Amino acid sequence: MTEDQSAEELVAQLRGQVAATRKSRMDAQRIAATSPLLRTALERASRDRSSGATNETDDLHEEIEHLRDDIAHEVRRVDRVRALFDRADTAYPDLPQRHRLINDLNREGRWRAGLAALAGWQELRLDLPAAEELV
Amino acid sequence: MVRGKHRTRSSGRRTAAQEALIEQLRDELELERQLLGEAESVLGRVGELQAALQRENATLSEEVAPYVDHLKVERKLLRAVFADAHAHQARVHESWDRYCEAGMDHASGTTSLERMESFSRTLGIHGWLTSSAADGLSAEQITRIQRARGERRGASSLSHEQKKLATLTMMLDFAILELPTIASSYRQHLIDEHVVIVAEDGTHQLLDRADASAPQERLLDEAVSLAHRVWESRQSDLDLEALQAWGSGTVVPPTRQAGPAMRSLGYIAENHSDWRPPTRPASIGLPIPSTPAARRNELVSFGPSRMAGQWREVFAMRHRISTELKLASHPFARLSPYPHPGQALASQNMYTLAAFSHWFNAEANGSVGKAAIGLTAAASYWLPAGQTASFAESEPLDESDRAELTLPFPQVFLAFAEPLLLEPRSDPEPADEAYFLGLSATAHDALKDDVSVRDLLEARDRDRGEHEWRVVDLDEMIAKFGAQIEGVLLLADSIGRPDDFFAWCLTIPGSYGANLGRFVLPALRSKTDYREVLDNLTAVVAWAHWHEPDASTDIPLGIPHEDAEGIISTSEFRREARRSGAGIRVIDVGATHRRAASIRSVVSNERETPITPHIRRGHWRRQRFGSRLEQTKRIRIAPVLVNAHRGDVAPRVYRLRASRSDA
Repeated sequence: MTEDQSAEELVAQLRGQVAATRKSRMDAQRIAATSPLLRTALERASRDRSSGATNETDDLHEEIEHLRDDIAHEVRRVDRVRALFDRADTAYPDLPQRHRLINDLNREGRWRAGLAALAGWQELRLDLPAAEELV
Repeated sequence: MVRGKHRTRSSGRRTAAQEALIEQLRDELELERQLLGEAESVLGRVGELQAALQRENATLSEEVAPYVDHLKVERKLLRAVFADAHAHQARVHESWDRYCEAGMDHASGTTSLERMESFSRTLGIHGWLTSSAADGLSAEQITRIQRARGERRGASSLSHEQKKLATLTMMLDFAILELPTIASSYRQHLIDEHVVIVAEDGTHQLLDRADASAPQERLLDEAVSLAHRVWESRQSDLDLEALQAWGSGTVVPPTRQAGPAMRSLGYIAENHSDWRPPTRPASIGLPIPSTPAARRNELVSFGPSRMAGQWREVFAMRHRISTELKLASHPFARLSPYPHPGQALASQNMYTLAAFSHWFNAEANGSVGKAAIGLTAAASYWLPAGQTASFAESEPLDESDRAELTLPFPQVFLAFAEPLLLEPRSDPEPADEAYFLGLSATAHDALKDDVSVRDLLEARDRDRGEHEWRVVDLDEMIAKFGAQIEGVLLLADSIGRPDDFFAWCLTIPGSYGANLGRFVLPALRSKTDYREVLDNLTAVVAWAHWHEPDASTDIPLGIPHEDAEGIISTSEFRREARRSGAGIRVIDVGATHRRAASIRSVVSNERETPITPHIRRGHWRRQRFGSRLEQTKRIRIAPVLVNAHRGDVAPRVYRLRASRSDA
């Protein structure tokens, strides 16, 4: 009776140890399995460090790029009007609406010329063409 | 007794079973412990990797923090400027709309449609107003319908056929005057077959169909169809006609004879007088970076049409990746001010197409062919922001340094996040500036609207207005407005020694945030004024440490289109291919420099003679290693920012300064 009991206890004990060891083994293997992923992540982190890339810098770069494009596009749209007005004004020199248009174009031209004085503008190297004053 | 016997036997069986079970469990436990031990032995390495990853990420966050602050300041400024720009534009357009309404009221014409067209003609916009319901009809048909409805009095008499013939003549005239959108050999073929007659003033006339033989009529039909395809082609089309027209961007004419600007770059036009298309069939294969020099030269002999036809799928795949990753891939597109390494692939493809475009128009020019083949097959390398100037302005290499340069592939394309600035050699005249502004406007609009060649050239003629007949070629453009070098193609011989031959990949920045095209200039090291810079750039490829391409971005050449699409469309590909570039090698800054930071601040001893802040140039030092120090390797000594505490240093861009005296 006592021998039986101790054998059963031993079996139970061994079973417990096997289960616990298996769990530890599986946990360890699960972590070990991440090794290639970690190696890749480390390589990528090292690469990103070389080019200074994070999600935040990526987002900022993208927005800055769009803003630069949009500014150039707005300026181009105004210059297109400037060129077209130049031709139309030659054909129809006395249209009463020309004064308001000239005022708005000149105001935009002066704003553009004033950009150079803005702090930090030169470092942007965003070259916009100068606009001549219209009379 | 029986009971007792039975119990004893039964107990014996149980004991045996228990012992077997115990034995089995012990074996199992032993095995589990063994496996646990094996797994735990790897855990140490995993722990190290985790710690290293945390350190790398923490250092990255720490390093980019001031940069992020700088970007936020830049964003704030740009947001404010954009708000002002938009407000001005809206006000101007409101006034312009009112002005146009008044102008149309004063314009000639009997119907509102005709008055609108008349006013548009005043603005330089010629054409017939149609409605969307008229899609597919010719101007002749539409205007006749409008006349029947009483919407106009006059009507177009230009038929489809006349329009197509006019397109062909115009493109042939363009080919002589400035823009070779039809290959010179094809034009010559038309002349030789008397399908095209060149008049005394150099313009082209077509053979009258009534006088044409059957073969001549077939040739004329073919030429008309070709001209139509070129005329309607867009940059995203990659058939040979579109490639020829769009490769360089079409607005800046190629140089007929190299002037001072291109000579200073070492430009060569190596013509093979005995060149002719090969007649024997030969396999061409895929453009792999390890294509040896001898094979590269053999491929040049196949000519542009055959090579472009064979590698078209490679161009298309690279173009597809570039557009998926939203990278600059149009000849007029400006590189992002903060480009991703992925841009290297897009730039490689842009310059490949530019080289092929040039080659189509100069089939016998072996140097252009070599550049086109080399660019397609090259392994791409990327220098991130802050690195280009640092390496370009290193201490010049001496002869013994040069002798140690070996390139990892027979063809390498080195692309820069920050282009080298090639400064103008002379000041432009006011007329040049007006012409340049017109081209800038054309390029900007074409980029925004993805136009056809027809729209592009019509807009160009409208934008340049009174300077209509002025032609400023590439050499003059570079001399007067400068250029940006976005990459170099380096070639090597069979043992990796850099060739004398190389190619500059450059663009001319326009005024409205668009470029005026992309150009590949074949050159010789021995002839360029910028030999030292070129050697320094070669040294980066030869001696620096590079991150290998990310495995998730690898798209093997020649895999089926569907498989490639399957890779490209994954989010992991999109993220990693931008960060690492699809198949691109990015310089490993940490491993290349002796210290992690490329530029470190050195505070000088206050007792020493005060020196103003400056950057001490980096250089490559020889270091011995191995048993008995018999081997040598190159160690990069980073540039040093000396006396940073005494004040600012200028922003770091590398300028290739031209001698203005020989301009």
